[in-house]
Amino acid sequence: MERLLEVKDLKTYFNTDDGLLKAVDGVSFYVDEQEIIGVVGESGCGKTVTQLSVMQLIARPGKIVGGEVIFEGRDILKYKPHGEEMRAIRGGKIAMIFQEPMTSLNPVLTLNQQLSESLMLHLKMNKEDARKRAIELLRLVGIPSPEARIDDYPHQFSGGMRQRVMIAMGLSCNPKILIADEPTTALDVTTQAQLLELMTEMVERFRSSLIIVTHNLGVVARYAKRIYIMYAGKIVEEGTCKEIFKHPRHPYTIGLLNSVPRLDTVGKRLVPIEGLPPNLTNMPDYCAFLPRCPYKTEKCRTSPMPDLRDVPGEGHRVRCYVDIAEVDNVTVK
Amino acid sequence: MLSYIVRRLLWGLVIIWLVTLIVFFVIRLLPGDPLLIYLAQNQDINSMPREQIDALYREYGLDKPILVQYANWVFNLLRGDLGLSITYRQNVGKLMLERLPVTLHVGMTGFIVSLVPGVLVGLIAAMRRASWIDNVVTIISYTGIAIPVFWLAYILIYVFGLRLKWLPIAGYVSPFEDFWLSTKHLIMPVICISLPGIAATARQMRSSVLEIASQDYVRTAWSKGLAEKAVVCRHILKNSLIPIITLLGMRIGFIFGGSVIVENIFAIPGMGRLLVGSIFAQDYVVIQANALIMAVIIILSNLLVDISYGWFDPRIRYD
Amino acid sequence: MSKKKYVWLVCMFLIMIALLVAGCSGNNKETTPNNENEKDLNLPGNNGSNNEEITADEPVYGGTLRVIVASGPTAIGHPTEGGVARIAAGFPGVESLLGLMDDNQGLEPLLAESWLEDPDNMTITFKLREGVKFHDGSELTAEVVKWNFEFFKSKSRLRYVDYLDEIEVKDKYTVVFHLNNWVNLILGEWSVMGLYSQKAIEENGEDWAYTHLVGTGPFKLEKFTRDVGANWIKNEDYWQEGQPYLDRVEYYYIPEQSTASMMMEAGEADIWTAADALNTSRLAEKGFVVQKSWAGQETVIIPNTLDPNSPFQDKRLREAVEYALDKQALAAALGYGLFEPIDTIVSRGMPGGDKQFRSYDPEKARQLLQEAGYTDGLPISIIAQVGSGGRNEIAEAVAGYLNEVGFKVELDIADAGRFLEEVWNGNWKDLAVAVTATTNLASMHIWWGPQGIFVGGLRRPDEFVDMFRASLQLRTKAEQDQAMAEMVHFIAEEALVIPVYHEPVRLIHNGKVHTDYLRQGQGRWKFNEVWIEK
Ligand SMILES: Nc1ncnc2c1ncn2[C@@H]1O[C@H](COP(=O)(O)OP(=O)(O)OP(=O)(O)O)[C@@H](O)[C@H]1O
Ligand code: SF4
Ligand SMILES: [Mg+2]
Repeated sequence: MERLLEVKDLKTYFNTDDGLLKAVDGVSFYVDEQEIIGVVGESGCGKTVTQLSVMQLIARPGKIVGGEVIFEGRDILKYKPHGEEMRAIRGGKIAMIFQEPMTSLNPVLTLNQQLSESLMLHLKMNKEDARKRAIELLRLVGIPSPEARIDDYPHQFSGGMRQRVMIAMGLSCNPKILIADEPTTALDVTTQAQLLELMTEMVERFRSSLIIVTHNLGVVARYAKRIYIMYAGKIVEEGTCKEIFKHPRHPYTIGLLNSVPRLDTVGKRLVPIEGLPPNLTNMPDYCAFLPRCPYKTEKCRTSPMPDLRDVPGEGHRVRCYVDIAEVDNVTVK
Repeated sequence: MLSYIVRRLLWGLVIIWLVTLIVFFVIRLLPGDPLLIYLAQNQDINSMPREQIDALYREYGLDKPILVQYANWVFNLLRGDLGLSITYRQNVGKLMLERLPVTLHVGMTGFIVSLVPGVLVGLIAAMRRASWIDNVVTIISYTGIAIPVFWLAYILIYVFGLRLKWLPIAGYVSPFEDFWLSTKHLIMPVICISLPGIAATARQMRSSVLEIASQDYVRTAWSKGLAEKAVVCRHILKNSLIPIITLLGMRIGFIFGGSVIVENIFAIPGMGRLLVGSIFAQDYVVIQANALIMAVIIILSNLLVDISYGWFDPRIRYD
Repeated sequence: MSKKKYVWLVCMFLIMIALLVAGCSGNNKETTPNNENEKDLNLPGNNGSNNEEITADEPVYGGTLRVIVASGPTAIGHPTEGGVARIAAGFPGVESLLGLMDDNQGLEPLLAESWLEDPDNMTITFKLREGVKFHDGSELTAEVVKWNFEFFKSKSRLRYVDYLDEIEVKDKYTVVFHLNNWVNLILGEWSVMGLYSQKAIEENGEDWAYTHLVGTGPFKLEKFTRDVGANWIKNEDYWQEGQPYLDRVEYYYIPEQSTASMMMEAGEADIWTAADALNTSRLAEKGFVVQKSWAGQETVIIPNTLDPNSPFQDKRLREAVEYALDKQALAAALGYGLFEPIDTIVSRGMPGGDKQFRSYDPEKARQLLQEAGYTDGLPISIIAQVGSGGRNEIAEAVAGYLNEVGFKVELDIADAGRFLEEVWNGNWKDLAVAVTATTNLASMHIWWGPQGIFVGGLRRPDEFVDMFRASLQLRTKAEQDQAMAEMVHFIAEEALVIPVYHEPVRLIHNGKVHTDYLRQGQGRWKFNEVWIEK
């Protein structure tokens, strides 16, 4: 079956003063229709850049240097970033919600102005219809008395409310895919839960697919069907949600799981991953996780960066020389 | 909003009062005596009998203690009387009515002319960052800021007045008298007044746009699939104009400052020229009135600027 | 970064060049005024007669004369207001009872066809020309003359007013001034005061006269705009037959030298009366005609001789100042060939101006300083009025020379207000650099007389005051000139004032203008005779 979106070997580099920064270096993933997937990784691992590359929203000094993004059977990277075709996809077929609700809305435009413009652009609505639809959308995402508030400015809303508005905006044109880039990071726990609930409910309603980007495995646990773990610009493990949680194969995934509060770890101390993510400008040619890896072997040091390899379990792949399930399965309880 | 304006106006009155106070006393602290200069100008010093000279001092109230002079001046001001000019021997209000429209005509034209191209040029430079347009704009704006006004004025006069003979070199004609000729007279002074403004505005606009363009909400706008024009016009422009407005508030002051040089070079009968003459003649009354009017205009325009912030930036509240 | 800056600089430079080239390539047709002009500029003497080119051609009618002056008056048609600039600004339209003769030779009939001074009866009688009309059609009569003088008097703008008893209208065209005392300066002062239409001012008010002018002159004021200019049109009913020649006269008030200079070059004006020395010589090189007058201004140094504590009570020190100055070099350095060194308070062509008392001799100056007891040098201060750029070049140069011979000069550059207060009207320390203008007994009186300027610091010895008093009774021009020369020599002998150089009044024109304005030394401009080549 044809994938709705398939990203193949995507490479996005930044030409910085310190040298070439490989923010995304050979990332491949896919999404099927009405599927929810998760992309998880620490801050700075390249999640956002990956998604922005899909949207062709990489600004200088960044550049997509390789790979394909096949959407509905066509490589949309071939489109000009600001050409007609790409613009039709952006916001129309693939929408994106950003991680900072406080700054992602234009402070000098009313909600109506900001919501209506996509509607008018992609769905060719006129002003009145767009306004009606915008009110409708705000109601759907749970803004109280939307008729009254649609002419308010963003600063008159709380962070959670603004993210609801962002969701409404993202879904306004009925996109095939909604990319939610850490939509809840800046919010308190209760609001996070509500928003995730809302988002999944909404994509179901709109029959869209959803890519949840987060650094918190816990966030995607309930909703995502499949999960991609990213580290230093690369996918290091992928598989179904179940597989990943039950049989994590990559030391980094294990570390992530240990740092996430879970029902079965209640009462246990959370263990953050020691050390810092590597500097992406001068990457070693061996495994990028090595400096922080509790499982490293001599082989890891002497061999090049491992490739993703299939491991038991449906679609489960991991980028590691060591077969962790064999070595240790006490780490994850 | 209304209470805000009223409060600001009251503050403005306080500031104006301070300005009058400072100007009044500072010019009187300077050595020299305006009547003496006036009499010397007319070579009357040794023909006018002492009593007559004393009578002149009395006429201007210059024989009174300085505090009384101040009180008289303020009292007359409150009645709308700006006083009698010492050199012109005419009511200063009348003089100002001759001069102010001229300066406003030249200055406001310069102001508007500096505004629109400044904003446009800055915007284009920012949108085409690091392109040749950007480089040219940067060079020209640095030049525009660095170039002294009088130098620019003489280059313009040399090129357009002397060599090409396209424009009259000096003088002023009221637009109600002969609009076309008036405009021709206006071109060079307006360029001189506005070029530094264009340059400063363009530079400010460029950095402002660059800053706004990297804001998250602009990324949001792009992610909606909007065309560049829509992103720029709807999402970037208005936001990046906010810092420009501050600049504009200050430019009003510059216009009066710049008019002093420009009006002298191009022989324009405005406030600036009057001020220069009055300073040489130490005509207290005219200098005071000049300072007063400038203070009022600057305070009002700053108020206008602050109010217009509200229009540009809904986050600002007036209370 | 530094490389970037460098690129910018180069680009800026290129843009400037481009601008200039664009300008030059536009239109190379310059206003090239014709003929023999350097002759004027280098003219050795300055006593008139540098206007021969006028005699050559016959006047032609028509045309507009465009005149640049530095500044306009604050009022143009008011008989007493408007400042000094009013008189020059009114030349095309205002006339007086008598007119100055060419070359400082006295007075000649103008609105009065004859006059009579009677010292014994203490009267001055003017017989008016009949049928002279003001621009508003009213006639010039003895009544109108009387009204004008009453007006001057009421505004305290009549010099020697204390000498005036009564103005008598003897008949329609005869007016008699009855005096209670006699000085010979009165005629010259009163007879050249501009006369204005009584009718116009009475009907329209004094305020109106600030911007309107009604005189008897060859041109009527069409429009006066303060600080812009004045437009005049031909007075078709002018009392001198066949005159004026011009159709129009336009005055432009241009304060900036460079602006005015470029207007001349661009052909936007025909005459410029206010060019500084630099621009005069520059335009002369470009082919413009420079006319110099016998009149002008004398830059002098005045030691304080009144203050008992002033070191300059000692004549040797005053002489030392004069010996220390190389006036020739000073004049050359500051005047671009226009200035002439002077040996007395008047220029070399004026009565008393032809005698030299001290020449440049720094050794002598040093010696005098020693003799006076200042072996370690003498700290002094020089006050001068601020010039362009906040400086005063002449004071700086003078200080240089004085320091050479043992003075230790401290410069005190004062703004106009303080300068007037301290020098013109008060007391100054040591030396003051002043600009004066002395051409005849009247100006002697104004500047150097017992009630003259600098009274606060310049000593007028009794002997000098006596000479002065006596001179005021002299009748003929020759006698007066003789007395003036004696007084000039007295001041020079005593070194009460140290002369430096003379700056002649001059004008620049494009070679097409025919006028002998400067022969009347700035006091009159016979616009009725001016004409311009087609
Ligand atoms: N405009 C840019 N210029 C230079 N480097 C950039 C730029 N944008 C991103 N990067 C770099 O690319 C790398 C990946 O950034 P990205 O924003 O994708 O991280 P992320 O995984 O989304 O992190 P976070 O959880 O903090 O959002 C980072 O190291 C970042 O420094
Ligand atoms: S390859 Fe080695 S170093 Fe890298 S993650 Fe696996 S065990 Fe750790
Ligand atoms: Mg991110």
